[in-house]
Amino acid sequence: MKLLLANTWLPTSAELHLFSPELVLTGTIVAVLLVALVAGRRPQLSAMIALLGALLGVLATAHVARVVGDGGLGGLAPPGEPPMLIADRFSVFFKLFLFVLLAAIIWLWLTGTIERRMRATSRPVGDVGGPEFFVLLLTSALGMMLMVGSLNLLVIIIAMETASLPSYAIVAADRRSRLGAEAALKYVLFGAASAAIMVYGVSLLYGRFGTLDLGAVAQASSLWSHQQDAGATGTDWLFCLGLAALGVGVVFKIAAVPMHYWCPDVFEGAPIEITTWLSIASKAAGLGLLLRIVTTLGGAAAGGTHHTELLAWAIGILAAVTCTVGNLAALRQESVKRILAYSSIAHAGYMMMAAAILVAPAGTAANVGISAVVAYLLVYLLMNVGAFGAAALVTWHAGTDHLSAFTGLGRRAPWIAVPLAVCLFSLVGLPPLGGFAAKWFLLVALGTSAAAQPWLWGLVVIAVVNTAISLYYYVRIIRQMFLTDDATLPRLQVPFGGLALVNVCAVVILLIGTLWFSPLGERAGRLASNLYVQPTPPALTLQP
Amino acid sequence: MTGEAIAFYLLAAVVTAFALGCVLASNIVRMALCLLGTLGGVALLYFLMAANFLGAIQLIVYAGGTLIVIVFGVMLTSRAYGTKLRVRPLEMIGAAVVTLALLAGLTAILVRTAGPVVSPSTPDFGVAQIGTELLSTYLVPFEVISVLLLAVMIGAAYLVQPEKK
Amino acid sequence: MQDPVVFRVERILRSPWLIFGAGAVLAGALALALWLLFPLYKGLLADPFWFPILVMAIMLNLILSSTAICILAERKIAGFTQDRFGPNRVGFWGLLQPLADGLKFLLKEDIIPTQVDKPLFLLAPAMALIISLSGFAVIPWAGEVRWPWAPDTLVSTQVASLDIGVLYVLAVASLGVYGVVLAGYASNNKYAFYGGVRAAAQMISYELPLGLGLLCLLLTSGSLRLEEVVRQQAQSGMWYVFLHPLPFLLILVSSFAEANRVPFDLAEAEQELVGGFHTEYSSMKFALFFLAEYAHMITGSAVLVALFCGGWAPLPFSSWLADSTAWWALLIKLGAYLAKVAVCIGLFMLVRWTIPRFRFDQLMRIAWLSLVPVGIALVAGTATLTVLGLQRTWWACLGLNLVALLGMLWTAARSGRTVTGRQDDLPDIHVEPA
Repeated sequence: MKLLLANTWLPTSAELHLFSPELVLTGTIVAVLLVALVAGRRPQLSAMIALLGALLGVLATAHVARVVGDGGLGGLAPPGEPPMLIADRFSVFFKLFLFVLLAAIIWLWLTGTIERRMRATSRPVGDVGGPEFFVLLLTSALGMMLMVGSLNLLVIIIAMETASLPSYAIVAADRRSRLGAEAALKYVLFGAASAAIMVYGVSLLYGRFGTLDLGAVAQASSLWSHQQDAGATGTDWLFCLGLAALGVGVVFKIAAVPMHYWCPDVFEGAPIEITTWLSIASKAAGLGLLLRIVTTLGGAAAGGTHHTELLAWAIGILAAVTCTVGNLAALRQESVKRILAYSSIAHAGYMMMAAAILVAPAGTAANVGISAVVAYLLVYLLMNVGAFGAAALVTWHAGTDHLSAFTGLGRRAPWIAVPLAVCLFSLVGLPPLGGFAAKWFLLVALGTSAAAQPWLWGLVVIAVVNTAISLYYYVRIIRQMFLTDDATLPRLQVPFGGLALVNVCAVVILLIGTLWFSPLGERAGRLASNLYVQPTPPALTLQP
Repeated sequence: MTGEAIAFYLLAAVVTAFALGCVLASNIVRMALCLLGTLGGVALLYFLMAANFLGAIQLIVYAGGTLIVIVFGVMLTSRAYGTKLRVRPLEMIGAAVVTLALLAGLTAILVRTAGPVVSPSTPDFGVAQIGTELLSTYLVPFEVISVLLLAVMIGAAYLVQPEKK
Repeated sequence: MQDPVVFRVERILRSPWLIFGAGAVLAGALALALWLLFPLYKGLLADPFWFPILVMAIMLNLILSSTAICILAERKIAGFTQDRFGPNRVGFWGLLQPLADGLKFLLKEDIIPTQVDKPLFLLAPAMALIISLSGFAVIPWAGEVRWPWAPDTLVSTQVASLDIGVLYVLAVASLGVYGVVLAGYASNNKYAFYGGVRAAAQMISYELPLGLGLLCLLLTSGSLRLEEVVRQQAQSGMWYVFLHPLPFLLILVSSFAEANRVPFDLAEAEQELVGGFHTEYSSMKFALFFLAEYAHMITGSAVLVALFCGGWAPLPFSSWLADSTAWWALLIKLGAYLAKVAVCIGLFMLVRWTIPRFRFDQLMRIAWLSLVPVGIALVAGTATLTVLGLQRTWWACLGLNLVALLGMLWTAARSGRTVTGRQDDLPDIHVEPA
């Protein structure tokens, strides 16, 4: 009897090797589920397995990094087709980033569980947790990895849904919290709307170009615009509309301005581990995807066309508005989670500025922009894990994340207060901290590109002004910790694990700001140096 | 005008009418029913384009699956059942302005755009062909979706499971 | 005291001669008309466009009239099961009962309560009937036929030959619940409303085992076309029910549930919900629901027969008539098909009068705790067999079914609870000794 599946394509093991991080993550998801099936619901066991999976993932990513490190690239596709999944240094960076973050989040969760048990608060251990919690967390991580590892619009949509849908559920992980349920609902509604718009945009692009491969779309669009430049009309509005609608989905993930409303409420309502996760991972994945789209479109245009210029303007304006709105809204917040939420919006704005560097003089400036974002993301990871981790330790103790919970922290818990202050100063961007290095690279990238595009100076000015504004609300927290005190408040007993996490972050931030300043720049520059480029762009037929 | 074109315009009109009804109805069950009409109409459009598989899947997944769950949810939610959803005139005007602007913009763009740059290929739409494609060209999305569906199922179960005492 | 005239009329009506005589006369007249008019419609029979429409007209009439017969059969079978006569007052052996029932429905007052959602109230019964009838479009009634006067055209006795036949059936089945749900909602009556909600929950749950059972079959047959599935069975003589008894049972049980019949008629449970979703309906609108239920049953049986019982193949374990396209073979095949459907319907009715109605939690447990796991196991097993190329080997399939059955029994024995058992959170019942 004939085998029914004889004529289907299956990837070879060499191809699969390149995607071992994703496979490890999927395996971990299954392992968490199956172990829970056999051993019963033990949240800490599930957490351990998830942590193990994340560390294994780091190893797997390191393995892939060795393969692609010297310029190797790989794609997953049947012969003759543009690849659906790709592995290059850029995506390897994001995978490593996400795995490290995942490990930190699970570590934070474990700390939190111990803390909750120690306090014996009304909430039983494992209330926020259990195998489902980790399955959802890991799945959303998988989705984010796929987001930066694809050039296919279909895979991008699916990856984004894979990143979003589990996030909606874990935001409401604490099922007794009304605030959490409300946050999840807001998140779902925003997410569904933006996903719908994005799918619509992709359908427009598909209808326009007849392909789902982003490389082919880029090729076709730049061909089209060259052809049009010679002719009469200028802009291909359908292409722009499709791209804009696609951008809505990306912007939602980054939580940049027109789609940022969900961010503070969700951050406030979610368990603080999830807040940390979303504030970093969701933004990183969204930015990775944005850069991927932007460089693919810009790269195919080779030197810039009318369209890439429009795109750069759009991203630049969005970035400027985003970071201004984020910083201004943060000024009046009383909840630390909300302050950090708005600060994360502002930081997304800074990073998007780098994405605006598109129309590259001789093809180098795009790399400058990417390396700036890569460096910024690394530092941002440390700053936010540190800040949210410290806030989490205080919140678990005080039961609230209101600013008043931080009163006198400098006396009550110096091992939290000092690293938190370091992280906050770093978020402002003061030397000699990592945040300064990040901002420095960003401004340098903007400055060098501004030679070709003078309007980028505008972004530089906005970034500097915003940094000054942001000083106010970060310092408010620091002032509450060190300059106010209430002698009746007792000292804080905090678990060692949490302290270790926060202090390590602070130390590394210090090191980056001083000793590792230039190594960071070099590393980031190298990571950005070889992006996946379509090996053989499919032949396109132009309709007369 | 061919019969096919007439059928298309008729169906399109029906779909649009149902979609309008869905937006304008004030009773939530009627909205759901109008949505059923829209989804069914789109399924018929698929059948008209000889995409039988897609049409059937549209009926099974949306009309028979998603929508019945929505109706079920609406009926179980005692407060939503029987409530009249009223829209204030100001909201109505705002929505109308935005929608009409969007419609005008889209129409203008579609009219001005000449046609697809790449002539879309017309593959064999047989079920076997679709299956083969799903397991070869679209293997990656197919597998990712399976993980996604697993996670979504677990998430849904997680959110609704009763609290342990 | 009875009026002698009425008495006499009743006696005449009850005489077997009248019934059978009138039947013979009618049949004869029909045959004669068909014979005389043959040249008029001869062309249509060989026309690929008109023939399906003709098939549709004939089969639709056949089904609608056979629902009437079904009602009589139901009551007779009920009588048989409960050891009584059943209807025997109207006509000989009660044969005119359907006519009387129909007249009764037509003559009753058609009430539309004032507080109902009128458009939906009117739409619901129509929707129920239309959806339950549209499943017939893909049933391959009698295979292909070659008329003697048009030897080069092969016409298929099927309304529509779709490459997605089974999916179409599934799609239509999934829409079937809307009639009931809408009726429940539109009636503006709490009992009707509960009926609608129950119907929706039940339908969602039982769609799964139905789909899983169909998947097993599809993996075996490798085709979604119903006529192809039937052809395979006819040619090998190996009906799929012999290969896959458990998927057959899955689909059978799900069809009971989809048709909303006892033991799955919770949507209209008289003892709890007055009449459930059709509480507010009367006269012809009620009759439409009735008709829809029977039509649903007939469709379900026809699909089941096509998928598992060899469709039009007259004999099991033999390929007799499998490749014959003669016109007389058509008659035999159609006869075989209808006979199998009749047997299947008989089974439906026997079950209805034998098994009591499930409680709602039992209904859900049966679907989610037993049918769905077994279905998933069967699909996985059949998929493995397909990869090994053994999907149509009888011992492999039967072995798989046996393993699944034993696994099911073992799990059931180990869990120590019946699937239809009490709900965990219900308190124990303590009966004080008298």
